[in-house]
Amino acid sequence: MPPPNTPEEGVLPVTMSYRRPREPVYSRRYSYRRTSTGPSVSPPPPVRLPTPPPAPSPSVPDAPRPSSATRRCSSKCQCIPKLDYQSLDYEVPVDPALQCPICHTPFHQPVTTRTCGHTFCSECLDRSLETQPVCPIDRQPVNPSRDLFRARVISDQLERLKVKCPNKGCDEVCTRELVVSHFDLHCDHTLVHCPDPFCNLRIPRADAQPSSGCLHKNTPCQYCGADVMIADLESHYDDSCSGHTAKCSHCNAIVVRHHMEKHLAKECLGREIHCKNMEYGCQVLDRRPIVEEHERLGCVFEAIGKLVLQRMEDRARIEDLEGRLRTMDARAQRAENTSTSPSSRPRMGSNSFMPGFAPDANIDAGPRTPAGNPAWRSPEDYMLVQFERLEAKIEDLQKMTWEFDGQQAVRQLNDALRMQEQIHELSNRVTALSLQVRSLAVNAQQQSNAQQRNGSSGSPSTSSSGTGGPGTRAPSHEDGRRYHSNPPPRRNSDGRGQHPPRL
Amino acid sequence: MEDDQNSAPGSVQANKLGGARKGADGQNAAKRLQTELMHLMTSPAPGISAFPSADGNLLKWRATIEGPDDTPYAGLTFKLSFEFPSNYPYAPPTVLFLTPIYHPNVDFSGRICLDILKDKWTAAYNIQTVLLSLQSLLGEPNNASPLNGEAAELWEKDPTLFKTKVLERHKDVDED
Repeated sequence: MPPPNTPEEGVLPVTMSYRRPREPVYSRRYSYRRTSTGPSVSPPPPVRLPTPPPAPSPSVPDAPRPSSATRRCSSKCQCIPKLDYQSLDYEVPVDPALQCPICHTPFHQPVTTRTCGHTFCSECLDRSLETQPVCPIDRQPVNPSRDLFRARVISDQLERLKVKCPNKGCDEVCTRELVVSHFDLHCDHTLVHCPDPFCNLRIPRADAQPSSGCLHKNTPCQYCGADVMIADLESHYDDSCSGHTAKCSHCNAIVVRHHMEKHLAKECLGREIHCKNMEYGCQVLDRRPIVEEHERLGCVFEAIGKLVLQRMEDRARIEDLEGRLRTMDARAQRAENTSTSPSSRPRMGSNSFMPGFAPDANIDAGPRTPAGNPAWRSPEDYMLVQFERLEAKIEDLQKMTWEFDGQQAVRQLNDALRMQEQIHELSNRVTALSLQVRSLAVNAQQQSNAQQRNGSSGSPSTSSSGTGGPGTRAPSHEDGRRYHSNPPPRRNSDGRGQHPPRL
Repeated sequence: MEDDQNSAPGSVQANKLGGARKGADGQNAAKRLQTELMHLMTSPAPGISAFPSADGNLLKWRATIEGPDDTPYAGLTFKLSFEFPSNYPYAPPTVLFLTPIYHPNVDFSGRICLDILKDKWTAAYNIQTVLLSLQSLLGEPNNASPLNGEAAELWEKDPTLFKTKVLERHKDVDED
């Protein structure tokens, strides 16, 4: 059985010189697309060379880029080695439960087995499944194409952890999610291609300036004469240069030549140096320990130095204030000129009903003024004054609007109150009317009832209308007439409650 | 013979693989061994210890296990050597007893017959789990597939004689 991943699929360390194009096999399996590696995913575009050699045959796309310059990146190409997740340094220790049991580092693109639920880095598990298609923890059979799924929760959690940039000398600390783009695109210490298109070596991004050319050429060391690559000069001076040390002429110390200047400026004990307050008048010139002692004990010129600094500061401030004062003066002058000219009285002093319309005349008058008025020294001045005037006008208008608003509100309130009173009155009247109507209606009914009863009994004068009940005897016509004035509901109910015997 | 003894599927494949992968593997193995070392130092398990050998090669370790109580090996200490392939942990380490030991599953040159060091190895095993497995192997030998037939026989029949043989055979060796 051929292994699912070819050998080229393995993790390329940061120091590897070449990238191979990714095989699609990987992403097909559990949709872990290498989006995070940014531009490094796509194979670098080749650069046409003056004499292009025969291109590599398309049947072997995985072949490493040949060391001769048949295919290589342009100087702008950002293709860089893949970020090695296993070597990332986490700011806080990661819970062991979030670490892959195979590589013992926090999961990178974790996948979980469907059968037993164990989680691994996808790359680690791939490698393990190549040799045995079983779960490395409990040896349950695992089919790489079926039994795995992405453990998204875990990766989301881990992508949020703070990590340090894996490049030496870079202090960047960011979330793991972002460190890829930092490494791929921004970090000055990431090794990128040498700007020289004929050089296949890599160089830190910060040094890869097209202007500085290829730093991989050899140059004779100025101290020992050995041929050294320009990029390695620093480390050569520090370590391997045979003539790299020299005796300091002042203190007899052995110093790396490259650092001699620094030594003389900061460390050498034998060389005579000035007191740091020399520019303020201190004349002390002696060996470093003595001068340091002098400074420590307190150089008198230190106080003077402080005063001088203070004075410089004060002067700067005075100049600043003077400048401001001049501007203010000029402005005041201008304001005066404007106020004396007859056409400009836009202030809100007038109590006319619509004062806002008055300044219109002023605006119209404005353009005429610069020609006639000698106070305008320049168009800017004129514009400035106009601007100020307009500003004042806007303010006035605003105030007016507020006033109007207030008036309007009061008026509305008054109207509303009046209307409310009227409504009250009307509703009272309606109530009274409805009462009257009801009493009239009841009366009319009573009357019609009485008439009916009288008509049907046949002897209306004697036996009818025993409405009064036991206490009312022998009702008469007078009675019938009287209950006009009596409250109708009572009478009515009395009459209905005790109907007199019809016989 | 030695190859057969401790060969695992992974190690065979590793030989066939290309050079590019080998270099990356070496780095990965070293990284993994570093984390294991860190783990062993910070949270050591009782009765076992391991450390890279003095020459600074992370792929060669020395380890010790103490014989478990209630076994013929109680009170004895055994030294072992670990040699890790460059594609570790995808292939098992080669583990040998440096201290002569009388045990049914260990032969006289220290080679061990233990399934997890051969075909049952998985990438999830590590030095600590291997040492713990070996420790338990001391108390529970697999007599069905002995490397030392006599020991397997005596383990069943004559524990006293077995114990004597164990003590006879055990002697401390100096690091070579």
